[in-house]
Amino acid sequence: MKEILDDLISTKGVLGCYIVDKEGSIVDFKGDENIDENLISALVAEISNEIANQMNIPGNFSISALAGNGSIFMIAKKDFILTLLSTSDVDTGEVRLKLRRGAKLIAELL
Amino acid sequence: MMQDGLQSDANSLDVLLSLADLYVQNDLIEEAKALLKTAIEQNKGAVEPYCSLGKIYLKEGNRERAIKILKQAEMIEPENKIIQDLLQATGKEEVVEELKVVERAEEKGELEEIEEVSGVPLEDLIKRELDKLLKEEGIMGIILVDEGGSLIYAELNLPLDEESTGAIINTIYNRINETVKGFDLGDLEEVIFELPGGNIFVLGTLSIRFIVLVKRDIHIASLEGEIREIFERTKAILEVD
Repeated sequence: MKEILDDLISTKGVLGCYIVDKEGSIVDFKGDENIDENLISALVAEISNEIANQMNIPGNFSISALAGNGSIFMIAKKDFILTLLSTSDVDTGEVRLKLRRGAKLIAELL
Repeated sequence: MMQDGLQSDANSLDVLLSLADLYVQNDLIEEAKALLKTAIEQNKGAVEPYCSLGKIYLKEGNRERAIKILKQAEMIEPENKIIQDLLQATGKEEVVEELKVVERAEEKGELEEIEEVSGVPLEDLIKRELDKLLKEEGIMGIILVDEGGSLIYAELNLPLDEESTGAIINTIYNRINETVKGFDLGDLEEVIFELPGGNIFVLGTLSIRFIVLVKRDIHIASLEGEIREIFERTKAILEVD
C-alpha cells in the first residue's frame, strides 16, 4: 500500500494522498504535514456518503474537483475511498490514471 | 395533450392558428408563441403564423422581434397587405429604420447582441445556446440551476426529474466547494462525476451551476472545450461572473 501512495505522491503537484474507509477513518496516507489528514478523511467520507444517499450510488464512482488554487480527486470503491489533494498545476490526466490504477491495486489488497 | 393531439392528427395550419388565437384570448401568450413557432416550422410557405406571431410581439412592445418576423413574412409574400399594414401599424418610418438596423446587424453577424438588449426572453437565448450542445453526440441533458439549486433551465433526454436532479447535484457541488475552500484551494470551478450510469460535468460560478449529463462511453475531454464555450456564452446571457 505504501508503494501505491509513494507512486501517487511522486507526481508533480500532488500535496497528499489518503486511503479512507467508508466511516471516515484514515487507513493510510502520505503527504504534506500541514494538511490535517483527519479533517480530509472526514470530509471525503461525508461527500461520499452524500453521493451514496442522494444519488443512490453506494460505491464505484470518482470525482475530480478543480478549484482556482488546487484540486481534489476521489475514487470511491466498495470498502474505501482513495483521495488526492493537488496544486492547480498538476497533470490531471496523469493523476486520474494513477488514481484508477492505485484504487484497483488497493481493492485487491484489502 | 390537446395540442399534441391536434398536431399529430392533421398538422392543420388553420387548427394551429385557431388554437393560438384561443391561447391569446386566454392570456396564454407563451403557449401561443410556441404553437405559432411550430406552425411556422411546419408551414414555411404560409405567412399567417408569421403575422400572428408578429402581432403578439407588437402587443408586447417587442418591436425588434416583430420586425424580424414580419420581415420574414414579407420575403414570402412581398405584396401582402396584412403584412404591410402590420409594419405600418408600428410606425412606418421607424420600422424602416429598425429594419435597416436589423439588416446591418445581420450582415455583421451582430444580431445576437441586438437581441440581448432588445428584451427577447432570456429563456429563448439560453435555449438557443444549449440546443447547440445537445446536438453533440453523447450529451444526455443539461440543467442550469442557481447557487441555491433552483431550476433556471433544463433539457433532459433521460427519465429524470429536472428539478430534483439539479438540486441534488447542486447540493453535492456546494459540499465539495466548502471542502476545497477548507483546504485553501480557492473557489470550486469544475467537478466531474464519473458514475456507473454516466458522467456528470458541472461548471460553476458563485451564482450558477451548469450541469451536463454525458453518456458513460463518451470521453468527457473530447467535449470539454465545447461545454466550456457554451457555458461562457450562457454566463454572458445571464450576466453573471
